[in-house]
Amino acid sequence: MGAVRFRCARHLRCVAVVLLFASRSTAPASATGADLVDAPVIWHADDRHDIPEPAEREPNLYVDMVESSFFGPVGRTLYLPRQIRNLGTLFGGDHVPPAGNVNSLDEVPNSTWFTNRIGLFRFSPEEVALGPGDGEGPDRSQAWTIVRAKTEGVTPGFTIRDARDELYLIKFDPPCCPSVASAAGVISGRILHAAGYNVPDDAVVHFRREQLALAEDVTLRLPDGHTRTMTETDVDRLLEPVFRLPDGRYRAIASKFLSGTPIGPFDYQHTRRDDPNDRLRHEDRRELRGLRTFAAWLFHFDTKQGNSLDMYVEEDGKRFVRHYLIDFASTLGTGASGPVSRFNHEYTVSLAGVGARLLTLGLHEPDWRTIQRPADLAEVGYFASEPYDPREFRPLIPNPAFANRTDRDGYWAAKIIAAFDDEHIAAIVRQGKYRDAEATAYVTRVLCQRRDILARTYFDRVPPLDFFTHEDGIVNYHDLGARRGIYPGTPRYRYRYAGCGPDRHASGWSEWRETAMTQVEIRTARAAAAKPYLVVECQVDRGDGWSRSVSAYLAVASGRIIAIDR
Amino acid sequence: MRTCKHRLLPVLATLLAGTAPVCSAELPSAASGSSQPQTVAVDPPTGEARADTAIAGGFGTGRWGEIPPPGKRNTILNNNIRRPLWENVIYYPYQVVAAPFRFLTRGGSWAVANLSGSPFMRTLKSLGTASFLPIKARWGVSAGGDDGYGLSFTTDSYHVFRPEHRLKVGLRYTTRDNTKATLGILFNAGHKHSFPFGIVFRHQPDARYYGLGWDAPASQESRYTNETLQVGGGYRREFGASLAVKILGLYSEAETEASEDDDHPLLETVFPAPSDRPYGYGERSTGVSLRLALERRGTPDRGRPQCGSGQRLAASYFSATDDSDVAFWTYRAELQQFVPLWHTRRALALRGVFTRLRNDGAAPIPFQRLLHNDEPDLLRGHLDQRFRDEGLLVLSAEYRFPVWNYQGIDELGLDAYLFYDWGQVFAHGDQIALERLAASYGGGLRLITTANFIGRFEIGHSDEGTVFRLRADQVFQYAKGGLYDGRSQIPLR
Repeated sequence: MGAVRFRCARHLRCVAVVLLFASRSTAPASATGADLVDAPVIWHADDRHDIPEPAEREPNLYVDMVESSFFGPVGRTLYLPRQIRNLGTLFGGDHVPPAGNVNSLDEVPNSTWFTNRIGLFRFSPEEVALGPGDGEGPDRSQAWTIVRAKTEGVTPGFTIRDARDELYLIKFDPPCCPSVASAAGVISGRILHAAGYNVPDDAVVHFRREQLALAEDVTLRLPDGHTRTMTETDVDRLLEPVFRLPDGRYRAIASKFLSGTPIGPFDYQHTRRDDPNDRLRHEDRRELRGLRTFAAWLFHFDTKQGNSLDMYVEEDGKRFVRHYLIDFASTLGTGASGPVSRFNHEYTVSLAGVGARLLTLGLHEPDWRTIQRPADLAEVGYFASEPYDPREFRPLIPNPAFANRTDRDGYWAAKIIAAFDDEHIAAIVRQGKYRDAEATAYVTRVLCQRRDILARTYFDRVPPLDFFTHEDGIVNYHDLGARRGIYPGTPRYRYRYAGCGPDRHASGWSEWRETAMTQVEIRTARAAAAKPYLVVECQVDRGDGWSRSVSAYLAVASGRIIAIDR
Repeated sequence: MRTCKHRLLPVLATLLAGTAPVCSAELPSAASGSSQPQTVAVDPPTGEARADTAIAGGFGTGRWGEIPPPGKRNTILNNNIRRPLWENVIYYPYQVVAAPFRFLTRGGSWAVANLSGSPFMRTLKSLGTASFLPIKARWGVSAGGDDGYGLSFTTDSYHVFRPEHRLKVGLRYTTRDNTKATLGILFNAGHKHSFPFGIVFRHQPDARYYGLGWDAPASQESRYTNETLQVGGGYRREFGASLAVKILGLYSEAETEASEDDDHPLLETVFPAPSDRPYGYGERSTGVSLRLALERRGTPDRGRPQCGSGQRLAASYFSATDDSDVAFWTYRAELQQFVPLWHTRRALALRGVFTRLRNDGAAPIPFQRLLHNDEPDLLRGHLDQRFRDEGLLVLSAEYRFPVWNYQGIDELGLDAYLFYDWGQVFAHGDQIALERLAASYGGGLRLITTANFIGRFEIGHSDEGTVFRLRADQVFQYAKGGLYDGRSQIPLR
């Protein structure tokens, strides 16, 4: 009996050690956990060094699908440190190390991947609606010259050159569903641009057949594999299945060619080896981890690496790689060949879904089997705000960066999404140029509702107390949850403060003080501070108890906020 | 910008009263997106940022205050996150253990990536898709049942003499030397008329024989070699969308001899007395037959029928051209009913098949022309050719449900099914009895689209054992295809 007790005790000790190890090894605590330094916050990544042109990547679509669907998930499951960290999530830790490109304020510095826009700065709806260019598409003052034709795929397409000598890719909606993909492509592209991502300049265009002229040496690839010179008759034939408006015009999405030299898509997991500026594993980049949250908002299921593009560009005499997201036609509940209910809800190969249906002999009915498109809105796909749970979003294939997303990565994206006002969204949706005003209103309304649901989902997990600034002994911060009535009722706030050293270890905490305002008065504390830094810990109560803390670190000498802990 | 306009107000209030004022703002509601007055604490002013500077480079006055342009002190070159010590202790052994797997997967990926663009794969692909000729090719594999593991190759030509005519050539070979070669030509004369012609050659070196009747014991399993040749042609006329009449004329040869299979007991061994051997064994039966069939199709032939029904009535007459004086009638009735269940794509498929031969000649019907559970869609838990006699009754029920789809529910996908088959062979109608029905049950997976069927894997079980099959032919398919599609017409169905 004594031996049994001894063995049990030993096992319990082992379990305790593992749990303690897991909890200690995965504690999220701070954005970087680095020692505090009274120095300017890092807001820019130094990734624009002059480099030789990297080789073009041409990943195989099938290999990418198999690797992402099978080998990637299996590898992540079998990686023991990840499982130890998973255990640590029971203690509030993260299942992966924190993102590697966040500054001390838990923000993403500007880089060749991401530029802070609406998340940090004020934009008017009109500015947001413009997108990366002028938002108008190709110049219509003269005919567009077809310089290349796309005959494969669900819909035809052309590459045209306009009067300004700019190249555009003209793509049409699938024959089944006029406007659906073109509107979604433009809307999602402009939203992602406003969020901070690099995207091409897409616009919905309407044109007549006379707008198209054919260059002399355009070759046409025939179904039998041969090629010949393209004729005007071929253009007519390619346009035959394309939907036409009642006035005879064609509707398409015009995507401006990106400047620079295309060098293929980027990998969502690994760095590009021949790019010396690319030094952080992509799966650890917050903007790629957080892209899942944007994708969940927009139902952007086709986030495979093939829908990204690296461009070797030259700016200010330096040549480097800029990273773009491309092709957003498969968003807002539609796909390249039309709306498909399963998209956004299940991976292409979902072992869990297949297993559940097999084990229950088909009694398990996934929600996506029964969802419907909005009635009488032919231009809208499977896009609704009810039911909608952003955590249940699934892209077409598992994305390694998405798999590494932590709550703080999700929160970072959610607060950018929450920065889109109704007016911003309405202005962007108008650029989709739906023919039916009801469709415009519906998509606007659903995007707003999904924004609020999504924001609340992540704000529930990470207290949305953010943007701490200090002025004249007053620390101001924003309660992002109070915006737009995301949370009902009137919140209460409380705070306390203490002095701390560079190691963030605080002592001599003040008493908690409750307030109805997002302000902390620290004039006295700052004057009396015996330590170089002051930590201000804030919490919010929305009727269900005090939230987890958000701490802001203030350098006493300079008076600037230098770090945040969540 | 919903912020307080009076920046000093909160500061003054805090200093004077010790409490903070509440900023008021009109906020649109979350639910409707419309404006609705509320009083909540909101963001104090932190800067009147304008887009002009922020658009360009992500700096200017923003929600964090002033974000300066890139400079030496606010710029950093990101590097990979350093693994903590504890992770390194696990990481390197993990890399060593995982190396072979990584090598394997990367090797496979490399092979696929390189082969997919290689001339070899392009050539192979061009065989499988319409390229320089109007030909489509299909590869198929099969396993289980009588045949062992098989590989088949079929080509469809969509332009024979004229665009509407079809030519189909098929070849199938299995590890048990089962061979089947088919040639079919379909002349389409308008939407309603067609003339199918075909030749089917089949060689089975280890066909099964257990004796005749529903009670032939499994212990009497024996093997023989069966070889058939069928040449014929017909006419098909459609009436409306679902009704069709078919007439088929067929010349056929069916020859049996000792099996070449050394692993199983031969028919001569199990049935040593010549009088015990079935009539026609060791002989060639030749003859012509004429068949008339009436079909009604209330559901698609292929894919995932959800509802509707199909009926088929057929009668044929065979007359020997050899000196055996064999002649017999074949009658067949088949009914299929698809019952939609709940939600999407779940269905109960029911089928009843009744087939009967009636001897009209002076000689008995050769055993190789008798009915049996060949073509593994009858009594799926039993081995092929397990039962043989002049009559065959089969009742089947199948519950089908989708488990996976590549894209939409109507696209390529995987269906699962559970089945239960009852059946019996008989010499006379009065032999049919509930207690004599052989039962089998099982389940399977079917790779399918609504437009076409691709293949199935199933396991069937009966009191005689378990049978698994991997096949590229459909079960419950109403019209399995005729001579043009290479379907064997012996016995006539």
